[in-house]
Amino acid sequence: MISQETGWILLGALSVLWILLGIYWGRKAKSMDGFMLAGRNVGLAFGTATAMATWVTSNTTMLAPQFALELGVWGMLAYSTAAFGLLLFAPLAKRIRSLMPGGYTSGDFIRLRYGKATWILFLVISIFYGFTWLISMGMAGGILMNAIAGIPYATGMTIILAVCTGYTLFGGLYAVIGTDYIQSLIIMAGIVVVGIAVMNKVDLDTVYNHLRTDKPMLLKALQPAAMMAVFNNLLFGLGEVFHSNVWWSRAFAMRGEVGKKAYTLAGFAWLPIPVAAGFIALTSGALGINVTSPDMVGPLVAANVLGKAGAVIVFAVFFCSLASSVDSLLASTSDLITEDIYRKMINPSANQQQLRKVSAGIIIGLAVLAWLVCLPRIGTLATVLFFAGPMVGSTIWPVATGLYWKKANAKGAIWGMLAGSLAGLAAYFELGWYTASLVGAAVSMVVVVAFSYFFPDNFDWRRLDEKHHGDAAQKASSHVFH
Amino acid sequence: MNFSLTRAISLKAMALTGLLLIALRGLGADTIPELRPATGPVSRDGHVKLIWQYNGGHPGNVYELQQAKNATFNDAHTIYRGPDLASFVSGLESDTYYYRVRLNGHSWSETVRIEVLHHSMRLTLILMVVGAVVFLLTAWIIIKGANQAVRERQI
Repeated sequence: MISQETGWILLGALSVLWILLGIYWGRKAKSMDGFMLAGRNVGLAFGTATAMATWVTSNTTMLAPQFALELGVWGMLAYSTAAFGLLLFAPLAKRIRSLMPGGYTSGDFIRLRYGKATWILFLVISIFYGFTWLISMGMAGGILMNAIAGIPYATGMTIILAVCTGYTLFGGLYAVIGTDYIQSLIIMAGIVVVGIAVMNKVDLDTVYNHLRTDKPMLLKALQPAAMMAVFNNLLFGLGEVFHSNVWWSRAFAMRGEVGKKAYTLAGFAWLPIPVAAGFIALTSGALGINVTSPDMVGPLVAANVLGKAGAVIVFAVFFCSLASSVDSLLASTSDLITEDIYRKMINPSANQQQLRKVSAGIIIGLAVLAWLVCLPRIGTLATVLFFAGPMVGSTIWPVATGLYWKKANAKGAIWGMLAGSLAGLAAYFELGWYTASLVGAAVSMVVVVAFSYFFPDNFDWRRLDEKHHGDAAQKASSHVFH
Repeated sequence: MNFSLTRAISLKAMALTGLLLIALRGLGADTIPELRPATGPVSRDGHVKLIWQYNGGHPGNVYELQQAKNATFNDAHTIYRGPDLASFVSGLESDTYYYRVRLNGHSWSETVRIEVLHHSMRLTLILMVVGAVVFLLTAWIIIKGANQAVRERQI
């Protein structure tokens, strides 16, 4: 643990650094393409770093240890399967870039591919998911600062949301990707330091014996909830990446063939991080650390093992991992609302300045709304985040088949998302959060396949390139609907 | 007269004793923390969060939390001793567990009974197979689709 004074100094230094960098990178964002998509010219190094840093969120640094503490070794492995989200999105990124060279959002794709009704449902799902992710990270920021520096939960949560809102407002995706690059370097260096310290401090035999006597189910191969969590988490990860505009905006922002390589590299770089983060949670009992809330176990053990100096590193790593995701979510959710709702539904003739103003207003509005919901600390990180699981899981097949199957159709996509979401929510309440995405994805898959077989479409891929086939696409989309 | 005086004194003594007993009982109750599980009394995934509160508590208080597999606590062992007001217990096998907490050196709280009942292995395996099928088919359509897109571009 560190003193509150040290915590405030660190918090202040990191906050000023990110805001100054945001202003610096923000100078490049002269047009909406620059603000929303970093000029569509992101290279491999920045592309890989932003994908990895964004995926190393509070969900990795705080939720992976929670998985290990609740579900044991299986839980730790279950969390690492989320890497498949990035790995399987790699070919999709290439496909997206070639089919939609002028695209802006994942909503654009759904609208052009499936029409307006599916698009509206997709926006509801996507914005709801983005918001739950944002809330889970605002909460994580408050929990982290309270656990490590004793800064009150509400104060810590407010500061992290305010800082990320600040630099995202100044620099858009340029600032987000630039800060992600530096944050990913700090995260990787920090995790190596924490890993080495834990291995030096803890005797593996002691950890094993403690688990075997006091927490036997954490070591068992046949732990039902943990076994269910393996594919649930894998499919949740696929759904998150496949549908979310966080990842689509990066696919649009990366130049040419970069997307496929960047997502593949990021997936492999991310894979061992949850295993390392999860392992430290398993040592908590042997170290005599009392865990009062499972989502605090990661920071608690790391700070305990590393002492005061190490706690400074942990503080910086956790702050970076949170900031790199909060900024991405604010930017991409704001893009989705600005582009898909404001420009497409409310004011199609809006100019660049108007769009920029609306985008800034949405970023601030989202942050304020997230702050209000975070204040009462409504549950653990897992329960908050996985509540969106059924909806997220139900988008996998409409998105994947929409990109590769000509016969995939609007009816299949809309009914797949609806039936999958409802079935997944039933599983969430009846069986547990560790089944919701799995059930949602499975039901959605069956529905999408059935509709593609019985009511095949014959989609013309050229309709996805809105800039060159705008009129044709509009006609086609109204045709799909009626 | 003497009888009346003796009776009056006896009644006063009895009343005072009663008040004293009530006061002592009240003082005793103040040192007993109230223990409860954060969620319901049944756990399907082998973990439980226990929370306790104590009205006269202050940050220096030390609490002791015990776990046992029977209500008499003759096999009890201490799983936490310290100032926190909650403890998260995980890795429990299917069984019935009993918990109690006390302020160091004082009386134990009411016992909390938690039943751990893991999901059936049949349901688990069905969901695992379903999950594996969904994942493999998703990977298959993406890999097949990506290869086909490359071929179409070459043509």
